[in-house]
Amino acid sequence: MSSSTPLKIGLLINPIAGMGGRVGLHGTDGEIYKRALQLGAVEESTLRAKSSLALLGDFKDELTFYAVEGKMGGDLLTELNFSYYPVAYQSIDTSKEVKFIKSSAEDTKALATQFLHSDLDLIVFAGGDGTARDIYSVVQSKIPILGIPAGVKMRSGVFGLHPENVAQIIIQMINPANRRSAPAEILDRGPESAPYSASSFFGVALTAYAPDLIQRSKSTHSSTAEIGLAELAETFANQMKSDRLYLLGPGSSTNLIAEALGISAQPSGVNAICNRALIGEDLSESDIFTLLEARQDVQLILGVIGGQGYLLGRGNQQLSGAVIEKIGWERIYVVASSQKLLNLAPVQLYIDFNIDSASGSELETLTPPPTFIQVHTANARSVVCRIVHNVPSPNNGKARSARSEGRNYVAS
Amino acid sequence: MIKSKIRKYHAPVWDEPLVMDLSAPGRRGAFAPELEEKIAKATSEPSALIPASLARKTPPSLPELSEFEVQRHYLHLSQQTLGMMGISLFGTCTMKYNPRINERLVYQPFVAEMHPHQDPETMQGLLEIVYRFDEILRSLSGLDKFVFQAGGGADAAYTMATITRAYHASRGELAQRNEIITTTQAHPCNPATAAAAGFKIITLPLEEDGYPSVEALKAVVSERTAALMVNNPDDIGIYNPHIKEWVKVVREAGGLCFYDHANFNGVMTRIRAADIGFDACMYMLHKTFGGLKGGGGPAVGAFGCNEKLIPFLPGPTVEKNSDGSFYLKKEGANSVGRVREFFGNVPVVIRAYSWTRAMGIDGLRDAANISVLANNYMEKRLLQIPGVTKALPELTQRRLEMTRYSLGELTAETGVNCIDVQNRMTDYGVDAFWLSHEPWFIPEPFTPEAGELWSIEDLDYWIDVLELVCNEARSNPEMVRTAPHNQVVAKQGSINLNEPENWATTYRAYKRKYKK
Repeated sequence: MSSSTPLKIGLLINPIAGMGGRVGLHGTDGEIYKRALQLGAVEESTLRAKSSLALLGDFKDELTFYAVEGKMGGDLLTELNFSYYPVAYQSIDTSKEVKFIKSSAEDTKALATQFLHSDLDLIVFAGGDGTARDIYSVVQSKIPILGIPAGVKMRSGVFGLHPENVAQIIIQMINPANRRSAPAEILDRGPESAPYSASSFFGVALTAYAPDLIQRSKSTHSSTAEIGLAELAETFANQMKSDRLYLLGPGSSTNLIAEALGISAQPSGVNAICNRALIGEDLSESDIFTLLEARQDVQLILGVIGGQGYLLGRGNQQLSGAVIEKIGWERIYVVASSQKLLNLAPVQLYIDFNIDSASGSELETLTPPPTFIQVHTANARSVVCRIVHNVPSPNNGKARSARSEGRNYVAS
Repeated sequence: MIKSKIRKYHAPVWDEPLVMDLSAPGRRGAFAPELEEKIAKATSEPSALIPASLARKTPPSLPELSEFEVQRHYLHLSQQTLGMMGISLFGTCTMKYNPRINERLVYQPFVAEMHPHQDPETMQGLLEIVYRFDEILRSLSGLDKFVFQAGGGADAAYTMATITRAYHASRGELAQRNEIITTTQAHPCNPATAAAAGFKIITLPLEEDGYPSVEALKAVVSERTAALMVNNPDDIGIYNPHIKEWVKVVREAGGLCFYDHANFNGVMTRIRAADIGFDACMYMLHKTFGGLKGGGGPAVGAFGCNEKLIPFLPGPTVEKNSDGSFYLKKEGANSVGRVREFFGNVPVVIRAYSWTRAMGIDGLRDAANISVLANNYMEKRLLQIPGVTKALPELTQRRLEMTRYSLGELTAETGVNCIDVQNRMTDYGVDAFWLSHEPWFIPEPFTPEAGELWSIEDLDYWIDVLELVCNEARSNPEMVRTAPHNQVVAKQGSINLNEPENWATTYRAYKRKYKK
């Protein structure tokens, strides 16, 4: 079998990823790496990468690898008898024992930067969420990235379910007709203060299109939920009212509506659509106010931060309390996949307006959100979620503690 | 700690080819005798009797085998597919023994050879069984009429959805009442059938007490509410004690209330749908009531309702004359029509009737008690296994006949997930356990249901096998991930069975997809 255009893959192994799992540590960032070594951790990610790439032996002619010599990929390719284009990248001697600087992040980012200039079809990496984040910070959505799962706990949507699945996806992509990509969220664990289950959202990367072979958040069974959400976005787009200003909050869920309209917008920002056209991209709080001044008929579409449940106040601070006050709670339409919602424990949404908002508005002046809000998950389907927030209620609301922060919030 | 002697199970592996591939041209199992000369002379060529428009142009491609080869082939297939009679605690399915005597009963000609178009005069006994079983379920539920047409639980939920539509249409409120409320804990067939009937679905998630709050329900109940569809207890084993208030809130708003009694086993004879205020309920005869199940065929979702909804029931219904005889009553003008053929899957109704009569009311009470006791016994032992946790562990109330567990900790520690464990347990003669309905809300879920059938030795064996596999996940994770090793077929990797190109149910499709 010969293919006219071999699949060009950049391979990146984070040799220290996943070492914490077996020794009971969560991840191998920073100092934890030293501790993992002391506890006898092994280079899990290289082993995982090997079990994946070993399945590609019959397709050597159809694949062109780009890698750096040494432990970050080159050694393994040589061991498996794959030839590769060595990437000129020599800032750290990776051919010997992995050097421990502060983390492997610098190495990963430096190599990812080289990949940007190699005209690749795909970056395959072995690592965890931290590795995905580092690569994403460089390549953004310019090249699809596909992870061989090797971290302790993966949250991002760019990982194959198993190392073997990654090989399957690569084999599928040998046929140029199958070289499709799909957006996927990059998530990693939240700040140190948050419980381990909390995730933070870092952006939307591209990954290979293989819904059943790629891990979607934490479950392997969410493709139906995602199809439902995509159908909802189509319906929503088809029923948009003329002259109404639609503000799309950040995230891949809300961006489905832009995609349904054929609009390519930066999914990590707030975008404005009117009469099926993009009229503002990656808007700031003051941009949003300027748009709102000019229009009466507005609808704000919000997504939910996966794993954490933030509706407002995380990743979308430009949608400040003052902006929401101007728009009105009743004109907010929330979309999320049912799987994402049910992965929240408990299924409730958080609002944490920044008190030092640039607009200077005081929390006390805001209208509290409703106690429950409907989150639309598919056509004619919604899930009702309790809202936990930090807007003081004029009535004596029952105080609840928000589990993710340990602070006192109010459920009105 | 492992108590049982773990069996060295191994399934029969025949690597049996497709029957088409066993075929040899001209081989026959039986030969029809030649026509006697006199008959041959008196008649024309037999093939000429077939009208030309109906005659095949080319003969059908049938496998050609001897009788012995056919027998051997199907024996092999049966050993490969039905060869494992182990322990099945397949949660939510309430696995029960199907007494052989009931099987013998329904194979008798007075059941097997009946036809629903027969004159009712000639099937009085059969109609009496259907009628009497309706009476039994009425007494168990407090409702006023049961029908057995629905071919399973989801079909019964669909019956409810269509009755909801017909009821509100008859009152001129259908356009306004277009929302059905359910919970994340209801079986997915509830929202699915409601959506199929054209309703919008509002789903309530669990809150901190282990069920959605009355407050959340009140926030969504309105003049648009058509119905509430819920189960209770749910699959994580928790009983919502506010269910009467739920029903009251919905009924006061003009909505109907449907009790999906999929989880009836632990509460048989203890609660009645009508006493709580429900308008309708559903029992699965192939689960709770000892009927057999499988293959989408031999199942019955018994649908019951109160007087208010009887005019909308599918028909025909079995009714009793004043002289004590039975007749079939055609559905009325307001009926939803038929959700399936005739008056239901009668052999399953007969099995359920026989099972229920044999159990008696005290037997049903005992079965409910034992199923709750057995589950709590299992819970105590299972939670001692490192890596096994309970869904919503912070809730202290006792679970009823089922508890949902998580292997999330084991997965985080070893990378072995619940499906790997499920596969590996079958290597020890234990049937695959039930995971969870989707979407999952706890990681790596599994849900065993002990029921009243299984002995304490069986339960211990099941628990021991799980513990053994958890140990294996630590000592040899690769072996568990690649399981099963002692089964008829090995792990199929991650072939996407949602893709039609990856399967074939007929030889023609198989040839088209695989033998290009």
